[in-house]
Amino acid sequence: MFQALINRKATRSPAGLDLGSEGARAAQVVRRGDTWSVTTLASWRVPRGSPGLDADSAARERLAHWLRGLQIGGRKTVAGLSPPDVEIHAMELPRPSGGSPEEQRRAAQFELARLAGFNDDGAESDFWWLPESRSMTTTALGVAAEKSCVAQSLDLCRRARLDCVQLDATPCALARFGYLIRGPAATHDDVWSVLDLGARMSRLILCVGEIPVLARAFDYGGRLWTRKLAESLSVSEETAERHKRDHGIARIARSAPEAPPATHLLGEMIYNVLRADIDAIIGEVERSYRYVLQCFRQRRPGPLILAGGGASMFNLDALLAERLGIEVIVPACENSEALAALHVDAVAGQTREPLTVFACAIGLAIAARHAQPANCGGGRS
Amino acid sequence: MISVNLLSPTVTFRRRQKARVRVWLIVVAVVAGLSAIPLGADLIKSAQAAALRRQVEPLNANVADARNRLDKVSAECRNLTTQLARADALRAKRDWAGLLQLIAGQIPPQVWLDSLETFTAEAPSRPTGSARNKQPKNQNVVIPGPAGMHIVGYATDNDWLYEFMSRLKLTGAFRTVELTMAGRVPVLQGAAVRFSLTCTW
Repeated sequence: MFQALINRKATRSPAGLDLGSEGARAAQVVRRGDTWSVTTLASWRVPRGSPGLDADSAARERLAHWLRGLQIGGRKTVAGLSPPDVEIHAMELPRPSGGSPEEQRRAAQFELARLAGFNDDGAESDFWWLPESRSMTTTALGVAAEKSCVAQSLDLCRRARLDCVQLDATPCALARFGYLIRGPAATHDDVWSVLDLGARMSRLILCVGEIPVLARAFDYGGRLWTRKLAESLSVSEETAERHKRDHGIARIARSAPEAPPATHLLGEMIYNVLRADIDAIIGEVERSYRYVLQCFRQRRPGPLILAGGGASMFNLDALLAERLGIEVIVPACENSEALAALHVDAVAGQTREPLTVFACAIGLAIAARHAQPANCGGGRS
Repeated sequence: MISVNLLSPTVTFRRRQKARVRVWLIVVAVVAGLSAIPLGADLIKSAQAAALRRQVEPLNANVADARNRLDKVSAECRNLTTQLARADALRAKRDWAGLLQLIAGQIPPQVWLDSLETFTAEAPSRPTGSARNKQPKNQNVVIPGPAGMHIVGYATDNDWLYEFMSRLKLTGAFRTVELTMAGRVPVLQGAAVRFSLTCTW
């Protein structure tokens, strides 16, 4: 009964703040027992012609102004850093059977300093333990970010009058988002993944249970695809972006008896332009799945969750499902009943952007305080 | 679920310290605010009292001025009352000419007068001690006047003296007509009755 009372109590989380190069997304959730309800979704894009948030201080100031006006309860936030701002490295650390947490922290810090390619200014780092596997020598994954990058994020939060309680890595946030929409039961005995198709880069995170065990980043981003389409179709980048979203990609079987509709023809043109990149991503996903499944032999291949702006590209999920042979999930407000522990009904009409764009922000919002490492010794290093 | 934190312990510590300081500042501000309420009320009351005092000072001066004027007016009033009383007293003065004419009209030919002299009534005995205090102050001014007159003269004989006294009594102008002295005295080549009457009114 006491547990039921605790579960009934709603807890507001700090706002998740996903800072990308092309814009920022913010989300806030409320926890009721084992379920999470999204209460706020908002996004902001850098002005046209801006070189991006990293290089444009005026754009950062405008973002801070936008964040100041945002209705965030508690004014606390968990910011997220994405590759290449953060580096994720596999580490072979001795398991935490003997050493003290302080020794483990120092060992991870030393190993990350050795592996990370940052300059002499030093880096902020953290790590988490991976599930045990006899086929895998990697025991932990470490995250490191340049101090200047951390300071830049903190400065932005300060100017936005937000209290940054945690600076997380977006692969962890995406893993949390995927775990939340699938539910603990579904992730019990498979290897599943999240593919975040961002504007600058794409990220693939493979998880075992609730723990990310492999994080990869590719240079195939949505912006690159838009540029390629604009060059190939001789249209402006805005038109290419619209075509990409509206028509997506389509594969036309040559053996089809009737002529395909015109929209399919445009979709095939887009597919042909992007084919190399999509094939490369599929290849990376295949290789990653194969590697993780080799390490965790008792598990079966699980679904791929698409996230990011590129996830809304028409027909991409069907193509990936067909080529990979696994289920591909595209979370959307429209099919909210399919999301296990995440309720998005309250924000269904709040934004024009698809839910996949906010996957990282929602994952960040459920990070602080509530996220307890389950079977790992994730601590600071 | 896995979560990492790339904030350095120093930053986290400073943030927590800042949050604690903020909480303390809020608490101090609330306490100070709550304490300031009675203090503020006292200050407001003091200010109001000072303002009232400032208003009272000219009023006090006005009151003193009014009191002085009242004293002056009261003194004038007393003076006027006295003058009025005097005027009343003077208005009540006896008509001596008429009285003399009246007396002259009553004198028989065998009687002649030697002198007429008024006399003042004896002053009433002054009250003593507490009795004086208990008595209300008489605001009327009492001017002591003649209570009667002594008439000294001669008559050829006692009958005419008696006639004269009877006539005086009959006039009703006197309350009493008393013969205080009568005796034969030589006058010229003969003798006459010298008399003295005391008439009061």
